[in-house]
Amino acid sequence: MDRIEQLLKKGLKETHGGKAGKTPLCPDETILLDYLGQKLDKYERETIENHLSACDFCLSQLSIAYEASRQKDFAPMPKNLASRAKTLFPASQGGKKDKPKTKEKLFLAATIFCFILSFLIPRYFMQCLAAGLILGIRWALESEGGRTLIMVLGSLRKHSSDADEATPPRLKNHIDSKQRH
Amino acid sequence: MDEQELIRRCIEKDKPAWDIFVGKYGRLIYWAIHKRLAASSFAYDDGDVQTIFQEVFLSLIEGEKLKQLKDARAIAGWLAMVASHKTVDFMRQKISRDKHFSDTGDAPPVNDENYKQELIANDLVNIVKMVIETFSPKEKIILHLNLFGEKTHVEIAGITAIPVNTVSTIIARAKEKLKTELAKKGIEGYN
Repeated sequence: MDRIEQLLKKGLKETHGGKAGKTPLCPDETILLDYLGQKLDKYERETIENHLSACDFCLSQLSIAYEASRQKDFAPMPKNLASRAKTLFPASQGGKKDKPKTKEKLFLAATIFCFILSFLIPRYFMQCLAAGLILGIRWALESEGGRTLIMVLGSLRKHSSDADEATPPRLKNHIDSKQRH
Repeated sequence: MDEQELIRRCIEKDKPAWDIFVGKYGRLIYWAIHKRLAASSFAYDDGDVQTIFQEVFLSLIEGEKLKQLKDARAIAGWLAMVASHKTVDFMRQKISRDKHFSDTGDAPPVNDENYKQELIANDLVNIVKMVIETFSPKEKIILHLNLFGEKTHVEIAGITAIPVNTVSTIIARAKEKLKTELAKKGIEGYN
């Protein structure tokens, strides 16, 4: 690098103000990618260029994105890093997401089946109805909506009893006397 | 499985897809972290790289950052930027933490000769700053990429979507302009 280049570098560093990180004015990664992919209109491009001309951070982001998109092969990394990154995934969520829903549907189908059966076989009407009722309760407990409803009811009951307990004795007496009148 | 499908399944928290994702893009993220660290004067070790690497993946899976990606074909560039951003955040945090512990507040002693040289250097920088202010944003970007990013003219042309010849002309003209200004002010040794 010759002396004039060194001088230009120093001057550019001074004019950029030495911002090291992202500021609230910095565009997000997707906009920078759109700039790189020439997907912005003329006005947007100019706005981004105005920002880039004074922001070290965004310019280096753009530069690294360009290089990464051009590079085909990357140097190998330590194996333990990848295996640790794989364990970051929440284990409970892997592939088991749909199981409760299937169970829920099964209980609903069995409830309907028992209900219909109770009319088809009058001899076992009560038995089928009871089985349908039990399965229906299981379905309500399994379903997310049912569980929420139970939680809401429980909380309401607790809240109302708490409110009763929280009422000061003097106020309670006042209410009671009013009711008596 | 194409990129779009892989990302969709990762967003839906599909474990096998996540394993493929880590295997496919781990090296790119590792490269981007190293690239960013090497470009700074920050002193780092393997432990730092490992911490940043985990933080990048954690932000992707927990923070659901993947949802922000609009075009799956641009994933390489996007991931490199995410990794680079995390690296900068890590460096800033570590620097501010170290500064907090090592800040003794002792100023270096003032030397007359040093002071004179500093004044001359400041004068020079002010002239350069004045010249730089006359450049357009595009010209500043090109100079910055060339001098700081050490990018070739072809690479700069690729980033800025400006023809290579124009990039070369802008760089040469900027240097010439600065030389002329310095000569006008009677500052020698830059021709």
